[in-house]
Amino acid sequence: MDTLEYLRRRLAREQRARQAAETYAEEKTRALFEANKALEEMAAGLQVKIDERTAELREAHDLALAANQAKSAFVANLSHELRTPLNAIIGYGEMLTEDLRALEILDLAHDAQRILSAGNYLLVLINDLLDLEKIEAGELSLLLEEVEVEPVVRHVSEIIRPQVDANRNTLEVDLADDLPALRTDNARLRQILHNLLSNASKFTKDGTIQVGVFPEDRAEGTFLIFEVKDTGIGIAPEALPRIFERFAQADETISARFGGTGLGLALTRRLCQRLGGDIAVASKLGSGSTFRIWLPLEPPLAT
Amino acid sequence: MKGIVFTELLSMAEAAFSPELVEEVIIACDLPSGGAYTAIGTYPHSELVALVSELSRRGNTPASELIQGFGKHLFTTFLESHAAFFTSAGNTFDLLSRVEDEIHVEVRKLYPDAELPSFTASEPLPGDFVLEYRSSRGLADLAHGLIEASIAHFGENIWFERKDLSEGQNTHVVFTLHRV
Ligand SMILES: Nc1ncnc2c1ncn2[C@@H]1O[C@H](COP(=O)(O)OP(=O)(O)OP(=O)(O)O)[C@@H](O)[C@H]1O
Ligand SMILES: [Mg+2]
Repeated sequence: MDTLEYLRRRLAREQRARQAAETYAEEKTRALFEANKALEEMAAGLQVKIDERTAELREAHDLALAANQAKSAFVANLSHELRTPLNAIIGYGEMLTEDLRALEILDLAHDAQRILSAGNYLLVLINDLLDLEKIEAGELSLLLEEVEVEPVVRHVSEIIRPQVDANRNTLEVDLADDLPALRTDNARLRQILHNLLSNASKFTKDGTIQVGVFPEDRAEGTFLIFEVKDTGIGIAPEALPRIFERFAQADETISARFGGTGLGLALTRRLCQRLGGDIAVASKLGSGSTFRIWLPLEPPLAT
Repeated sequence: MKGIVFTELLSMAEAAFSPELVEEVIIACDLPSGGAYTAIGTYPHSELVALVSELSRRGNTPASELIQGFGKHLFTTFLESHAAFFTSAGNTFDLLSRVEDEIHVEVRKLYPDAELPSFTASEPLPGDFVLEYRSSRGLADLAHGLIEASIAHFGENIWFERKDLSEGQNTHVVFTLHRV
């Protein structure tokens, strides 16, 4: 092959190779461009979808909020309306019970007493509901004062005694030495402890309930820890997050076995939070539960 | 097979033999691509086989020698285009042990369709190094040339044995390197 022929062929080959490379590069560029365009369109489509969903969500949220407010107002009104006749039932029930006792008609006195108990139970329930609604509406007012722990615990222990005894439980109280007084709402603190102790005695049989109070220094200041520990039925792990919600019980069998409506802990938690603290629980199914609340010595809130 | 293999093979052959001989080889092979290769394209493996055997015949060089020489040539090419990698590798053992996990990984990112041989490296004893080559393409000679070029490049005193486990097919070959 002579040099000219070789060069001619060589040139032809290089030209074809260059064309192939250019075609290849153009194809790739086009593919990139298409991919880019598709991505851009997809992004735009996504944005539209996100906007739509956001609008839908906002609407649903507004609706839910309005519905919730309407419901709260309704419950508050209803509870109020229920309380008036209920107070009459309880008042007359008390009178009737006393009169029947005085007349020594004991079996009827016993029946009347039952009406009275049922009425009292209803009243507690309605009060709890009303409290919850008030807290959620931001309308619960507190009465802050210096509160000594020891008399509060003693008082609640006395009141709860019949429930503790009914299930043959032992109540042990352990207060740390030199407990400082705290500024809080006395009645609400009692309500909190009462709820925890009433649960402990309800869900424990032939067991022990321990109440402990001790101070704890934290970054935000000193807190008092109130601990209520029982050796009762315990709570399944999957139910734990739920029990502080209103009308929530650990499972569907609870209300049949133990009664109650699932309001106690919901209210307790809201009250603790309102007082600048909170509540937590540790529990093991079958071996018992420990509820712990903490309250600051000084509540950081304007009342 | 990636186009760069073809363009480099032809440029090596032009230097080793002559441009005219390469041209005649291309004509004789009657390739579907006509020998108009671009480095970024992809071409059938059969064209490589045809080119090598025709070059071997007309250039009066055994195919294995040709492919080993091609391995050395490729090493130089890579050295120029990827200098940083060779500096960071520092020696032959290190370089070879990084072929599979680093070089091939990078190659696959750029060319998902690339068909790469598998290199399994191990160091059973200090100073000994075993590299297992596997590829249906049977290009163990190419690996051979690359290894030799690497030893020369790093100026190391290493000798190596080569054992074919594929009955002369060159598809499964173990290279054992000893540092002296
Ligand atoms: N000490 C406890 N041991 C085991 N389970 C408990 C205990 N305290 C609460 N629970 C579980 O948490 C649920 C919620 O408690 P909560 O006090 O809110 O409701 P309740 O006691 O069932 O009803 P209510 O307090 O309204 O009468 C209970 O139903 C029970 O399943
Ligand atoms: Mg309760």
